[in-house]
Amino acid sequence: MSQAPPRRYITIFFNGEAYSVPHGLTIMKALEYAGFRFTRGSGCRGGFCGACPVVYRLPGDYKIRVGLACQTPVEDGMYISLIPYVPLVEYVPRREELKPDAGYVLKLYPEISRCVSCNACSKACPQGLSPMDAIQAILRGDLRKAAELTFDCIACGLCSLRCPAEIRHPAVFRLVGRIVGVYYMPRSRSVEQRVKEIESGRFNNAFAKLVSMDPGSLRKIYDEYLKTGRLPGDLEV
Amino acid sequence: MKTLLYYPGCSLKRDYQEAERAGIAVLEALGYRVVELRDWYCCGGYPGSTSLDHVKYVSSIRTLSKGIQQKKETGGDTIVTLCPFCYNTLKQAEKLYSMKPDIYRRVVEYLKDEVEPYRGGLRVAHFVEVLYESRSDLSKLARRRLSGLKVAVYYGCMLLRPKAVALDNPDRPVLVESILRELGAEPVDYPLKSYCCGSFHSILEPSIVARNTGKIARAIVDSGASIVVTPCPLCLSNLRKYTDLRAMHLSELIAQALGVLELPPQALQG
Repeated sequence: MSQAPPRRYITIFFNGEAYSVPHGLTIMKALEYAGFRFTRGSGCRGGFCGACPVVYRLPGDYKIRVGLACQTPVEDGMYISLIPYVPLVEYVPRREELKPDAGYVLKLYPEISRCVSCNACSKACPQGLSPMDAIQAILRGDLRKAAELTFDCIACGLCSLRCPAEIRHPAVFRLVGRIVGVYYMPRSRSVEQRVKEIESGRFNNAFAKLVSMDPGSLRKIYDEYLKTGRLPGDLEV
Repeated sequence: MKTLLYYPGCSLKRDYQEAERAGIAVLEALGYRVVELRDWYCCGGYPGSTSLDHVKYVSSIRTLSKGIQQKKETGGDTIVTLCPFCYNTLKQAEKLYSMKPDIYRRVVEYLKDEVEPYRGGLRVAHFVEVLYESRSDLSKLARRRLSGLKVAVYYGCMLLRPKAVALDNPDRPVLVESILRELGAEPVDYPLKSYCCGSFHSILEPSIVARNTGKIARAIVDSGASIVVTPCPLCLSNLRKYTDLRAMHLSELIAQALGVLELPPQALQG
């Protein structure tokens, strides 16, 4: 009779306590195995939402390592600390206030001029981005480069925690992304067209009908739509 | 064709792109291939002026380490910059091993996760040095000689101090004047060529800049010059903001003389 290979257990340390957990789990799953329940600092569990930054060290190694709890496998002897939330005071300007100008970004986030290019941010980025290059690009006035370099930022905030200049990278990058979106990216004609259609009232009747329906009828229409690709006549627009 | 690795620096890239265009056009007219460094970072001039000594070398050493890679690809062994602050910081970083070996070791140790330690192999040069070395060609290439133009050269601090990286005598520099004479200009002599303009005090203590540039401006006016040129974007900014002098970056005047870049017509009128 064949037997499953014996499960290998390893020891991790969390909040100063040792826990024995199966080898091969992510930090998040290992902590849940150990009995913790995540009510904060957990989101998509797929490495995309940036809610679960984690800081850890490995035995015999001086390096502070960082990652996402849902993506990083546990290792024997790992010392773990979760960062459920990184405080980033962010100013979100209205669209009309945005200016395509590095001076404007510096005015809102003056600390970026303190970048000494130590590159601690890039070493911390679980997305493998280079926040330092983006900050440096802003300092030389190249907002488009900065936006391009940080498009994949998930705003976990680990770079900010490691930054000796206390730069609020995710907030800065969000601002730069918006500026570049408003001033440099091509406008989407189809969206403008659809907004006009909505404003002209084209969807008002169908929408009012949908809202007034009970869930059972909605479900019926939906199933029918999946099968045939059609809506009942009075909902067509 | 000799290749120059070009280090732009933040000031030129952000605020003085016309000086940058002029400088590159001049270097190309002199027969150089100008290749911008693929990876370059703030030279350290900004944080370095106010902060810990070893921190300011981190970005410069990183730039040099990455420059070595590009030297292998392009054959260019000289990093040239139009900004004296960048020149000064990069040059000191280039000489760090001999000037401050303990700081060199610490910086290299810090950077070893990212780049190979910089062990020499690049020359750091300011635009002025390249011009000086090619000054005989300048005379041949000039299409619009600056005949009789009374020009004051304002050097500022960073090309002349400290001694280890100085390009000329800090009290009586003549380097740029000899370049301009090749183009027919008549550089004037005046006493405050390397008197500090006030530099970064423009941010926190503008009164210092107003006072210093005021002194410099009086000396230049007394000398009879009709225009002042400087190799430094920060000096240029301070002179333009606090005085009525007609000031331009050195690269722009040279580009005008070589006819390689059109400047607005009022640029050279008295």
